Amino acid sequence: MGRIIGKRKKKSDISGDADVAGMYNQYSVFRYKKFIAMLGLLILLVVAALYGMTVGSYPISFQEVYQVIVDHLFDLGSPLETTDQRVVWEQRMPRLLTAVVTGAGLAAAGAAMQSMMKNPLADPYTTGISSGASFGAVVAITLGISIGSPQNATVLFAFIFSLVPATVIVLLSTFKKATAAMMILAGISVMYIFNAMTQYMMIVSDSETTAAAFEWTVGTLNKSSWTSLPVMSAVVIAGSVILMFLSRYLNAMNSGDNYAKTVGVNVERMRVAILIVISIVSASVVSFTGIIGFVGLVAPHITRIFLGSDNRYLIPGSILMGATILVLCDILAKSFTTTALPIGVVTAFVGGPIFLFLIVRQKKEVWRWKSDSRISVSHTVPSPYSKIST
Amino acid sequence: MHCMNKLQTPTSGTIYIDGKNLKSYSLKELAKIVSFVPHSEDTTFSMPVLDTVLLGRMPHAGTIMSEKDVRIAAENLKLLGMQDFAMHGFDELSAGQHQKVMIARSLTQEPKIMLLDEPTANLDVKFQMLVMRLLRDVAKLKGITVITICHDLNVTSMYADRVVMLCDHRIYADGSPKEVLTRENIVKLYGIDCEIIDIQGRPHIALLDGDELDSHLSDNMVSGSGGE
Repeated sequence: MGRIIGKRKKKSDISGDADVAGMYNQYSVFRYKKFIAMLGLLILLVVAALYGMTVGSYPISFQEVYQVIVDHLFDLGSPLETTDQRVVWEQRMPRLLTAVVTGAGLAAAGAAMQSMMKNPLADPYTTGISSGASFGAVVAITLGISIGSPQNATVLFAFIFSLVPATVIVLLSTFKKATAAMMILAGISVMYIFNAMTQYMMIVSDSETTAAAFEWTVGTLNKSSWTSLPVMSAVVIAGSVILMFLSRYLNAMNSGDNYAKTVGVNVERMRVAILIVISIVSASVVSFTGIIGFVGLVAPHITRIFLGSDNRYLIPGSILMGATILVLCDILAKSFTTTALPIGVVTAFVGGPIFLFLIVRQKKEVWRWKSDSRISVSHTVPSPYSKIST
Repeated sequence: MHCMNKLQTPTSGTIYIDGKNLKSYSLKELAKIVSFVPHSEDTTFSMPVLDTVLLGRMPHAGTIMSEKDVRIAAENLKLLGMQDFAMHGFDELSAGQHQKVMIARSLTQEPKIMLLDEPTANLDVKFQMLVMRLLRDVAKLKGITVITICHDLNVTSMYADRVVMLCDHRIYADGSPKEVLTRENIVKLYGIDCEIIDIQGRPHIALLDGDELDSHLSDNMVSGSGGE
């Protein structure tokens, strides 16, 4: 055996095993820490949610809110009689749960999108989901389409059109390799087409309709109700579970497409599958709430600072982080304004500076830009030999 | 090389691994036999070294890594002398350490054949020799066939058991370093004159500067004016 491999041989064999055991222990501690960090995030979410229930324009004291909740929980069938009861059960509760589900869904989709595209700037809307949803909603609103009610039509149209960009990419992938660049570029082209059509629709319709259409595009939790929750939650939960299950493939793809293939991952097919899951999750959220920006981009990055980039921790962590961020932003929206400030405005307005602060403060870089990640002389300078030999 | 692990499909000819046509292997089946070390690491979001090495367990393990998987990864890290870096971030390491981690990751896959795409390309002379020596030792220790692409003739000569010389997408010569790395072959292949010296029983190629290369350079360069 050569000197390099035998380098540590001067220690006895038992100490050799000790090295391995040491690494194993370190790894166990490392995993345990991740678990604790996630538990911390969960506690943060629960605390934020418990507090969020007590904040609102209608004044109800802390005790009264929980009195109402506890009373009603023990007697679920009973009618809601007092204003207190109706405010808590029919407004605050569905709104809070919508915030949780929306934040969780967008953050999970954002984390998966960033890892899949290998791009720290990716978010759930990278492939054009938001522009598709806007167009669908604007079509339904400006043409006055109603399915049962105008709201239903808006949601349905937004959902259907938000899936168009993903469908285009999936169709393209049958005759062009599904690389990250292809997906982003195809998404951007579809986005421009949809934006142009949306702008046209808004310009030709009267100002009232335009205002209503524009209002839809700004994400809000004001429309939250018990009726929209089951569909949203079911899709978000199913999607999150699938993404968590696929997280190890995302990890392999993070080391490059070629490498991922050589450990047995069918990269192109996997990328299309993940895109479909991400699109359905974000589409179901967006079609009910409108476009809530920033959570899908920022929640995964903040989570990376605490949990690292391993998707097996990043995705569940982002889910908790995204839910917490939206609940906190909703508390802000409710406590500083008397009018119903759309949460889409708050997330960007509050999240932007916080994110900037985190970027500046952070010593260790969590992600790197591809261009400066390596200096590969042998591959940038073409070898003269190849020409000489001919 | 990319044909050998299904990254590309050969335009003609057939590749057999263990007497079985490569086409009949699924990506996952192949991953259990053939592992690959890319020429440079290509990660965007960096993970700890041990988790990076554990990626090599992909073809064998489920979502949750078992104790056995972690131990195999840890053993291979130790084999490459990287045990002190197990919980460091992959992006904190140097190019030579990246190469070691990638080799450990490849070994963790427990392959029969290891393919390496220019393992010495970004390394200084010391690390080049270190990595090649390590590969030779690992091949003997674990009974793995190691196939590498290498543009450095002397490194090839020093560590390879068998050299396959390619020219115009075809095999030009195949044999031991002594048989393949001859003056005649090098002149024919690269158009560069050289002297072959015998060092430690293996050919050592000393390349000679000559006018043969001038036809590939622009007139400016040849005249030596080089700018203003």
